[in-house]
Amino acid sequence: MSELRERLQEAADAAIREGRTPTAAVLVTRGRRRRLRLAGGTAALLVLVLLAVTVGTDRLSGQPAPLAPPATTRPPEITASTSTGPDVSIVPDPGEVQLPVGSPPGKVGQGMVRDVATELARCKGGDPDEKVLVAWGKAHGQTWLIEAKPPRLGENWLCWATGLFDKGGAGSMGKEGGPDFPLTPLRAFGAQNIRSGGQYWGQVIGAVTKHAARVQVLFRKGIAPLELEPIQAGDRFPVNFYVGFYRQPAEEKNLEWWVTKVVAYDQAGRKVAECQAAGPGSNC
Amino acid sequence: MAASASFEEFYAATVDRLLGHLFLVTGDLHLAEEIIQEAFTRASMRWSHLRDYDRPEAWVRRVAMNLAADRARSLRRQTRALLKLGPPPAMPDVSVETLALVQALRTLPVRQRQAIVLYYLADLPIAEIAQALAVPSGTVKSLLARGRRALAAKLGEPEEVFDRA
Repeated sequence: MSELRERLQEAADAAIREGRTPTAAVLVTRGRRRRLRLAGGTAALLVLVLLAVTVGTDRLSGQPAPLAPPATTRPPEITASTSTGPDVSIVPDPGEVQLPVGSPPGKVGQGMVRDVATELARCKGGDPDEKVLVAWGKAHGQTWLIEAKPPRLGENWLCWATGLFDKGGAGSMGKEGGPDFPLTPLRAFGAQNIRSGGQYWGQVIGAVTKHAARVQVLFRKGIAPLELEPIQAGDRFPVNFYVGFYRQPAEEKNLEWWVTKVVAYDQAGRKVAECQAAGPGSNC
Repeated sequence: MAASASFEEFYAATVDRLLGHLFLVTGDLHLAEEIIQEAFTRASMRWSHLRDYDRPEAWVRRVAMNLAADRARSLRRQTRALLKLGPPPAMPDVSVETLALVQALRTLPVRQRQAIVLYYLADLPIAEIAQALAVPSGTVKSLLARGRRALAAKLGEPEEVFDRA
């Protein structure tokens, strides 16, 4: 038997030992949701095709298609800022995630909380029996959530996870933090190309030192800086969090992030932390 | 796997093994976890068909290997930036020698990695590897030979050490 095989096996065994995989039920649910979403898209397409065929048939048969009044060409509303803060609902201490008061409503909301909790469970560390819904909110047709596990004594990292979902509950979750990411005064992640109201939006979400009273997010291509107030996570967490949304000038098809820099300031306006997004990938 | 097995039984019986394989192909435990989840999610969506396959595991493995190849291609485009600002890949706790092997493996082209993992770890015959990777058998042999040679050179060991018994 070759040595190569034994060494590969050792590495694979270690990965199996330390790897985190969700239960089959979680994947089945995810698959079911995806199928529903696909079915919805197909149905919408079918309706459009039928509509097109109907209109085409009407025209071919000489019957005029009902005409809508000519659209008025009203200019789009121009807002002063390209950025907006989210509608933040903070749940300071909901305890274990069991749909605390103020969590996203309905079965879809329950699913979001569960999905993010599942992602959080993959993070090694923190109290495994307690997953706290720190905050959630709605912006641009999306519901976002932050959940975290209070760290245990001696851990210099924090397990937290985020989720960003559409109205139907389809979306993405991400595990942040963990043993590979020792706590730093400022971390930033993001999502972009969120389509809502005929515009593209980006999200910036992160963790920040408790000394920070304000988080400023700077962008490229003339997007106005975003000023965010940290979400107070309570004494059981070593950091606070922040979330913001900004309007993208266009769809970003490359990997470059719109955010260039994130800076945290204390109450007195002194800079307490900074992180620079220096290349592809939505993080700093 | 019996044809009547539930998805839950199938998942429980195969997820660990495939996670081990994918970790070696990606060199990153978190990425391997993500890919495995995606592959099994897709399997769950088609389980009514897949459960009748002789080996549904082969289907999931193939999907996962394709996803890994896609990710490798997109990561290659980002490599320079990732080296500068990205976190190091997630690694389980292994011996220094094995860590060196995993790191050496990461430097190989993804096809060579896949061939080596499927041959040495999954213990698949050449014909089946060819099917999983959608390449001719001769290509698999060549991928294995080149991969072995490159690994031996990177680890400073004679190639015979890595020859199959």
